[in-house]
Amino acid sequence: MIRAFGLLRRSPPAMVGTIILAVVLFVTLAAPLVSPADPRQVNPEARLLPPMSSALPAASAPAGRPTLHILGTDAIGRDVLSRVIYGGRISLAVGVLAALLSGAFGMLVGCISGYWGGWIDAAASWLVDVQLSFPFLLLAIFLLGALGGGVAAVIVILALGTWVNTARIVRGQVLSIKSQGYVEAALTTGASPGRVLLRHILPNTLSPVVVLASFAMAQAILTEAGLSFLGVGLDPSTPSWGTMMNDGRDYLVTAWWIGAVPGLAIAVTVLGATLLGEGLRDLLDPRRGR
Amino acid sequence: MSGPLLNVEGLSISLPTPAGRITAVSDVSFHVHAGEAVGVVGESGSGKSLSMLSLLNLLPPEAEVRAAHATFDGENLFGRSPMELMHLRGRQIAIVFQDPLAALNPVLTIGRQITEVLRRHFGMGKAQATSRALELLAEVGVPDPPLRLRQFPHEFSGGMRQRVTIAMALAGEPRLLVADEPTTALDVTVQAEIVSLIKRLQRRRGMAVLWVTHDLALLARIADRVVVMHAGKLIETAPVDQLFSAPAHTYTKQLLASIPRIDRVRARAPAAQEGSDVG
Amino acid sequence: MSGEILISARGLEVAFGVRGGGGRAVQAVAGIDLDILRGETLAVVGESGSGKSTLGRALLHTVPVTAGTVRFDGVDLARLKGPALRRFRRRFQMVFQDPYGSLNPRLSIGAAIAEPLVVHRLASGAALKARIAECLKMVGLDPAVASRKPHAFSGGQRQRICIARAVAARPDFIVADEAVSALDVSLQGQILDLFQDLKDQVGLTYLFISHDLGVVRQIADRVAVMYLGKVVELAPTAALYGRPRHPYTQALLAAAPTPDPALERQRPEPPLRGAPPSPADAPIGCRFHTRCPHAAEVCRTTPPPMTQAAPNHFVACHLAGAPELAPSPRTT
Repeated sequence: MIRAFGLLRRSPPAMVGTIILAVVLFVTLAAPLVSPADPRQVNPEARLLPPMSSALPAASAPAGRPTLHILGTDAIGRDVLSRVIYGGRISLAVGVLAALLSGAFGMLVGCISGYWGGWIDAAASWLVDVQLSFPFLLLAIFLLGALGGGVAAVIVILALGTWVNTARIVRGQVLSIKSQGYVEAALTTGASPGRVLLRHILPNTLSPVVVLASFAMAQAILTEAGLSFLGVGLDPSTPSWGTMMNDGRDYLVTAWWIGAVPGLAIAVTVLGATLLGEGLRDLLDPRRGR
Repeated sequence: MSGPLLNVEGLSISLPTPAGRITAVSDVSFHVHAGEAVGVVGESGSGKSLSMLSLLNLLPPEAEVRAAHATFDGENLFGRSPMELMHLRGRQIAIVFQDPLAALNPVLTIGRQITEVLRRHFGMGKAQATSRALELLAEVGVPDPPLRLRQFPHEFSGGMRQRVTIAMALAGEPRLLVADEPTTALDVTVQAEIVSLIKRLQRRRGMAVLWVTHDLALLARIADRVVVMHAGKLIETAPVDQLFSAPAHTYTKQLLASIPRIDRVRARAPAAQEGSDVG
Repeated sequence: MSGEILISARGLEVAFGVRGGGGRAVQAVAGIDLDILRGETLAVVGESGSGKSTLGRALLHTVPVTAGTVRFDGVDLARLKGPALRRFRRRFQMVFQDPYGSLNPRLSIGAAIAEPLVVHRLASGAALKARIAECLKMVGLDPAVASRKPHAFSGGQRQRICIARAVAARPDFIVADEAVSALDVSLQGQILDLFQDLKDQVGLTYLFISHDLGVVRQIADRVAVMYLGKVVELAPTAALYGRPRHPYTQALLAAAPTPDPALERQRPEPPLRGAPPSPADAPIGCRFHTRCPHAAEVCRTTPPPMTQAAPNHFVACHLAGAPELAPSPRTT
């Protein structure tokens, strides 16, 4: 662990990215502790309040002091900051799970393609080309419409958007590793192809996969936001950053903070993930002689 | 012969590495007389290639090269302007490398590459350069020169490619040919032909040859004098017969003893420590 | 040497390349009959395109064999499928040319040496560790280094590690494919000695593939000379080097430099012109006839059969008995 930290220090982007993501992760995970208010608390008296306004608690809420809404309230009086913090859980979960799914699937297809070649490789390449020839957004909308909404469906769709990259790169890695002497040595020893794949080839493909996963996460968060913003992503009642931006769509001029704050949260998180990915890529570049 | 054609004394080269500056070559001296064949032998990490490349300023700028004395034909080798260097390289001193593919431009025909040398150094017109190129190809033993002139490097076999790089090297009519492991990557029968070719060319043109190799036995065939290098230092230099029959230095004796010979099975090697592998 | 045949190849052919219409397949190994005796070191020499490396792999069935059979200790390898063949691999191993690429950079060398033992379930736990330590000692390395990764070792040491890996599962047969070619001359002798020591200690049979005639002279009991996929001469070492009978063998020996300047000065010009033809374009008749200084009409049309020129000395040449082919005896 300490060694990994030392490694990170060598790349400023990776360092900054990790810090940003760590902060975001911490804040969202510690939501109950950090959040100033209950995100579901509706307060019709305190609708559309600008940032830094204070308001009396709602009639339905337990009586208390006036709450300071640091980032304002939305159309039905919910505290924006609290919503953003809690909403982060969903967005991050979706992003991370999509990235993991994309990474795992991409690695699987890339390995099998690269290792066995032949018709399997040809079939997989064909599949990739077919998918790439569809505009992704349309594909996503169509599939979401067909499968219905729901977090799981959205995660799968998001993974669909990025697995192709991983598969391509892993396949290339596998091809070059396959020609290495130690792979032939293992096969000559009598190792089964499965063992060779798992023990010798796969571990050496992990570096680029980690980099790609960072980028995939960034892309997943953005895409989820986009889809939810369009109203085809997560169900509007699920508080994610994307759905919040959707809520803020009607108030762009009058209550800009409703859409802008989650948008800012997305930007910061995506920046963090991208920086981490770029930093990792530089760190793991074989030319640096790792 | 008034003095050596190439005279190098106290050559030292240092290179930057992640671990700090290291001295790759330290206080090495050698000379080559006109028409003479000198062999430089050393294992990996001995600094032999670095020394040769430094003479023509072919090392990266981070390398620090110093010499008490380094002259070619009486004139200083170091501290020359780029123009002078260009005139020196190819015209007075030519180099043949181990990997002909590295020396040949894959997208130009062989004819283009040879005539380029001729036109640059002698200002020949196209027709004259082409006919001279044909002569050169014939001289190095390339069959069917008119056809070969129009071909690209990848259409030649390894041995043929090396003949072509030798032809290119000869185009400038150099007085010294530096050959850096030119036959290491070739089959032994092809190597024998290239060695024979260079010997012939040397005799016919009165050219001096500086042959760098890790194969000491090869030098028995081609060298008049041998320079032995190890770990950046000069170990021994002697006329070829003397070096093989009565080597003075322990390292040379060990090197000779460890050559796998085809005419006898050697006695068991003493338990020596691992050689100085670099990297 | 017991005189018993360990490996027997008959009509062995390996072809690569274009299937179906159009291009010609490249015959790397073009029909070889060979017996390797238990306990011997058989060397295979040849230049590029000779097919010697492919032969080694064909004997181990790590490349697909297009025709012919290989029998290992009586077992026809072609009859073993998948898992059965893999299990059989415990009995033969290979040491490769490149010590840098042959070891997985992410595994400790102990894990690398353990691989054959783990794959064949021969040892685990403490017994495994003990065997690894034993193997490291056998190749002259300190057992304490087992936990380090390959990059901590020099080329010569890595080759020793590869050899330790090859002997770990106690195989009967090892193919050394240019195993010392990438090493400095001063290390070659040490590794050759190691091969010899292991053979004496453990009782191994070797197929030693090399392009270097000097190296082969040091270690081989018998030598097979290959040219364009065929064996052209096969003889005990002293006989091959002392009285080579095939023009190609003679040319190879004449081409190899010896560390004797006086001898080298007396050498005639190399007799062979040009480079070997590409294996995709092998000449008809005797494959060597295009470069042979003695080629006769029969050589251009008929491939020569392998005949016995002297006890245990075989040549594939129509003119093997002819007087002009007899070389001057060399000093042994």
